[in-house]
Amino acid sequence: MKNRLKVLRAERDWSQADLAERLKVSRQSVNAIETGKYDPSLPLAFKIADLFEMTIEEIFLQD
Amino acid sequence: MKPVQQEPRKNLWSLISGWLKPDWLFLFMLFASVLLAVLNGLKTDIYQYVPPPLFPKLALLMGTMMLFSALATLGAKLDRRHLDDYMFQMVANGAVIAIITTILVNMIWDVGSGLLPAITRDDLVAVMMGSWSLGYFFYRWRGLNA
Repeated sequence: MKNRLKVLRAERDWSQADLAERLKVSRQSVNAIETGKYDPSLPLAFKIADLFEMTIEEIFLQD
Repeated sequence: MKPVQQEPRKNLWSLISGWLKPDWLFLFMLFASVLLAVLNGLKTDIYQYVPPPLFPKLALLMGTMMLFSALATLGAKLDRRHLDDYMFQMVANGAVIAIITTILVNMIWDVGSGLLPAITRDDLVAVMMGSWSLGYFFYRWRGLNA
């Protein structure tokens, strides 16, 4: 699954650590999601969508 | 654009837990498994196997298994609360690798018992710890979607 997390994060000038802190997950988790090594759970996907004030479909795209 | 919040002050627990990362734990476990296997190999007093009476053995095994299954379930719940889901997934997937590897190693040694050197239950514990660590590091390296 592809995602726009890196772009959205860069637009807000947040580091991976900043985003991780806001989502209450580790920086490695943010890195793994951005590099496609890991697809987040549904609760985490909702948390990400809430944080960026977008829908899940706007952030996560099917291959 | 939202301003980045100031980093909260770290208490003693967050400082300690910052060092207690799963990476270090699994690296330690990998070394411990190798050490355990080596120390087992150096043992010379291999005991004579005497089959125990069936009923007490089964009752003890069942009781111990149920007790530790319940404790492990509670432990996993705590883990899930403290580890974010990416770390938890890696630890859990590593554990699945460890279970499968241990069962297969045991099976191979059972089938080839005449040809292969005897292994003890400590050796199997070493195999389980080592394969759990290797499984964790495999997922750490390749990612959970690999």
